[in-house]
Amino acid sequence: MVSTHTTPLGALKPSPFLPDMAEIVRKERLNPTETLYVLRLTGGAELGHAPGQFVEVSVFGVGEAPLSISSSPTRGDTFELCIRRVGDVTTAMERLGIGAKVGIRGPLGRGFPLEVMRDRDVLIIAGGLGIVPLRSLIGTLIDERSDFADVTILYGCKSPADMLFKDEVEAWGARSDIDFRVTMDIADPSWQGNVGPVTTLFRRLAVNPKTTVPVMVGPPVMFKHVVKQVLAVGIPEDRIILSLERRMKCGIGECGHCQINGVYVCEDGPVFTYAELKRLEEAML
Amino acid sequence: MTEPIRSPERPRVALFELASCAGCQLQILNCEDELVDLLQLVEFVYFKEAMTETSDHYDLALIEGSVTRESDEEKLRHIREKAALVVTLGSCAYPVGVPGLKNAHDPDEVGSLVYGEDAGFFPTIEAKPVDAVIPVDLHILGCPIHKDDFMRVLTALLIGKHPPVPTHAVCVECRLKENVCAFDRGLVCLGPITRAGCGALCPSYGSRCFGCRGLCDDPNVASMEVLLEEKGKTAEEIMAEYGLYNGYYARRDGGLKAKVAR
Amino acid sequence: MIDRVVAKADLIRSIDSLADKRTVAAPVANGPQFSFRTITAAEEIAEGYLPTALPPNKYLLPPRETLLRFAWHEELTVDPVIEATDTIAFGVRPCDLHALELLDRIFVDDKHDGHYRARRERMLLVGVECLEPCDDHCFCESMGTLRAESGFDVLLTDLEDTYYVRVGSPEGKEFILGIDGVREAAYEDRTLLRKAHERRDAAFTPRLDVTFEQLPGLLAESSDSLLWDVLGEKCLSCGACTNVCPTCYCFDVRDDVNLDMKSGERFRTWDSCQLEEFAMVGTGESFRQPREMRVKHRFNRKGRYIFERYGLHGCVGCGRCARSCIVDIDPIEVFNQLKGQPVER
Repeated sequence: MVSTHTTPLGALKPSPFLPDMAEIVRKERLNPTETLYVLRLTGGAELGHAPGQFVEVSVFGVGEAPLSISSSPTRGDTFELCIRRVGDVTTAMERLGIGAKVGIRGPLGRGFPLEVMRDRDVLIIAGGLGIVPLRSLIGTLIDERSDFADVTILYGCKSPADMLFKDEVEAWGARSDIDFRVTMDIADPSWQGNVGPVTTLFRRLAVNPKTTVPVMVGPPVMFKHVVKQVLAVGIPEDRIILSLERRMKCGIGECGHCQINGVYVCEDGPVFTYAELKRLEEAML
Repeated sequence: MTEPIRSPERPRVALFELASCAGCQLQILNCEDELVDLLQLVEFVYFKEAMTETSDHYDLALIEGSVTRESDEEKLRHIREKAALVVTLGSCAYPVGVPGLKNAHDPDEVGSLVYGEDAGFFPTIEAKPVDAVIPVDLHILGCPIHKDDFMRVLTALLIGKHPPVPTHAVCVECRLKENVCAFDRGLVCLGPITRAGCGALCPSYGSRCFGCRGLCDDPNVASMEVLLEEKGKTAEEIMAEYGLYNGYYARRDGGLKAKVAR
Repeated sequence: MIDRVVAKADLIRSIDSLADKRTVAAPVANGPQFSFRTITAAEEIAEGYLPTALPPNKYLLPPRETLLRFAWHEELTVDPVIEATDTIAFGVRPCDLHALELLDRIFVDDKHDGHYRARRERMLLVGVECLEPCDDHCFCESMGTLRAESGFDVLLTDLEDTYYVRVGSPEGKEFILGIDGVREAAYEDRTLLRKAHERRDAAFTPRLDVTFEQLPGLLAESSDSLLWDVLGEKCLSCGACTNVCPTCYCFDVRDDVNLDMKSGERFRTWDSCQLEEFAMVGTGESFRQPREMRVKHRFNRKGRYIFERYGLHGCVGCGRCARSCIVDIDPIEVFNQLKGQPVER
C-alpha cells in the first residue's frame, strides 16, 4: 500500500512491456545480411521519434530485440529499420512477409542533440552498420538543411559489397550542399574511390574546431581512433557525439543488461557526448 | 539452427539409443498430457521403446546414450548425414554420464567383470559423449532429461529460435529455491560449476549436485578445486567427484579446464 | 499519526484470523535459515530470525513473472498480465524496508511498472525493528539502514509482552485499529521504547571503516585496485550474491510458446550481472567478460551507482550476500580492504 507514491497511471499503459502493433509495409534486401523494413503503426499514428532513438521490436514467441530507427522523423507516417540478421528475432523478421504484424515499443532512449547541431557545422562519421542510425539524422539534416551550417559525411565500409543504401549514398554524393565521402577498408576491382579506414578521410578535411559538431557511430575500434582525431583538432569533449550499441532488453532502465558502469545505455543514451563516457571503463572507448 | 524445422509435413523425428538405461526415452513417453499435442507437431518415424515401424528418413535425430562401441561411431556418422538437426538426450549422450565410469578402470578388467570369459565377444571402447564423434546441434541435459525441457526445445525449434539452454551454474536455481546450501550441510556439491536447468533438483531434496549436466559455460574450476581441497578432498577424490558424470572430459589432457578453454 | 501499543497475544490472535482471509507472509525457520513463506497461523513465525534467505522482494518481483500473453487465433492478440493478491508481509526488517523503498522509487515512481505497482499497492508492510545485531555479516549500522523512519505501513518494536506500534500509512492505521485490545501509546510506553532504542544503539557498532556517504568516492578511487583481481580469482560466478540481494532487481525477458503453437507468453526472470552472458550483445561479444570486472561491477552497483542515480542505498548492509557466498566474499571485508590498502594505479 504505497500511499506516498501517487503518480497517476492516467494514460500510461498498464505494462511498460506492452507493445504497439505495426505492419510491415515494404521489405528491401540491401545485401546478403541486411534488410530494410518499412513499418507503419496500426492505426496510422506517427512513431514520433527523434533521430538516434531506438525501438524494441517483438516477434511474438521468438522475443524482442532493440533496433535503431533508420528513417528521419521528417518522412511521414512510416518508419524504417535496417536489420542485420544476428539473433533469433532478426532472423525471424526475415521470414515475415508484407502485411505481417510485429510489436513495437518506443521510441526509446535519447537521440542525437539537434539543438547542439543547429547553425553549426555537422560532421558525421559512420563506420559499417553505424550508418543505420545516422541515416535518420542525415534525413533530418537534408530536410531541414537551412538550419545547419556545413554538413560533411564520412562513411567507412569493409568492402563495396557491404555498403548500405547504395542509391541514397549516390544521391548524397551528388548534392552540392553536402560534402559526402566514402571509403573502403578493402577495395575490389569495381571500386574506384577511397581505400583505407574512415580516419584517412578525416585527415584530409579542414575542420573548424570552433563550429564543428562531430557525430559518430561505428564499432568500438573506430571510436577509439576517430575520437583521438577530433580531440586533436581541438573539438571540446562535450561536443563530440557518439551512439553506443549494447544489449538493451527492457529499454526502460530496469533490467540492467545494457548498463556500463553507472549508466543505462537504453535510458541515458544510446547517444552520449564523449565527456559523459570518457571516464567509463566499460564504454570501451 | 534458427530456421524453423517446419517442413510442409510435420517434421520427422527419429530417436536412437546408444549405451544408456533408456530412461530419457521413457521421460518422453511419460508426457501423457502432452502426447496428443506433441504428435500433431512432429511425426515419430523411429522410436524403439514406443513403436515397431522404422524409417531412415528424418529431419530431427534424437540420440540417447554414450558411444561405447566402434559400431556406435559409424551409426552416428550415418545419422549425422541423414538428419538436419542432431539433438542429444540426457547425461549419457553428454557429458557421458554413468557409462563413463568405466573410463576410470582398465578396459580388460571391466570387460571380464561384466562378461566373464565371453568378454572377447563384446569389444568395447572408451565411453564417449556423442559430440566427441559428430557435431551436435543441441544437448537436452539431465539424468534423466525433464519432459518440460524436451517440450521447450521442440517448440523453440518449431518456431525457429535457439532453444533456451542455461549457461550458468546450478547455484543460481538453488538459491531461488531458498535451499540450505549443501556446503553448509557439510557436503561437497558440484553446483557451483555445473550447468543449471534442473531447478536444483537434487539439492532441493536434501542431496547435493553430482554434475549430471556437465560444466556450465563459465566455471571457475581453479577456485572450485581450492574450495574442495579446503573441504578436505584429495586430488584423487576431486577427480572421482568430477568423474561420476564427467568421466570423459574430466580425463582428457588438462581435465575439465581444457574442456572449458575449448 | 498516533503511536499505539498492542499486546503480543492480541496481535497473534489477529494474525491467526487474518491468515484465513488473506495471504500473510512471514519469516519461517528452514534449518539454520529463514524464509518468507505464506503462513496459516502465527505460531509458524520464527523468532529471532536472521535476514531471510531471499528478501521479501520475491513477492513484488517474482523470480519468474509473466508480463504478456499472446495468441494467434483469428488474429494476433497481446494482453498484459497484471496479477496481484492482497498480501500482508509481516516481520520485515528495517534493512529490507530500505531496500523496498529503493524498488518503489525505481519501479513505481520512475518506471511506472504496472506489474510491480499492482503487487506493491496490495501489499501491507508490517516492519519489525531490530534491537540486536543479526550476526557478524550484517553492517546496517554503517549503511544507515538500522532505523526505518518510513517505507512501512506499520512498524513494531518488541517491548517484551507488547509491541510498540508506529503507523506509516492510512492502511497501516486501519490494520492496527482492527486488532482487539490495541490502545494509544502512553508516556510510559514511550519511555520503554526510548530505553529499547538506547539498548539497541549500544548494541550496534559500525562495521565499516567508511560511512555510506563515503562509499561512492572510495569505489571511484578503487577502480584499479588489485583487490578486484584477487576477488575475481576466487569468485565462482554462481550468482548467489545477486539472487539473495534485496536491492538487486536485474532481469532477463524471454518468450515461451505453448505446445499448441498458437499461444504463449513473455516473461521476466531474475538475472545476474555476475553471469558471463549478462553483458553479451547480439554479436556474442561481452562488455564485461572478465570475472574481476563483474565482481567490481557488483560492488560498484551496491556502493556507488545506485546511490548516485537514485540517492538511495544500493546496499542495505543485510549481509545476505556474505552469508550465501561459498568462497566467503564479504562486503565488510571488501570495503574495509579498499579503504585500508593503497590504491594501485
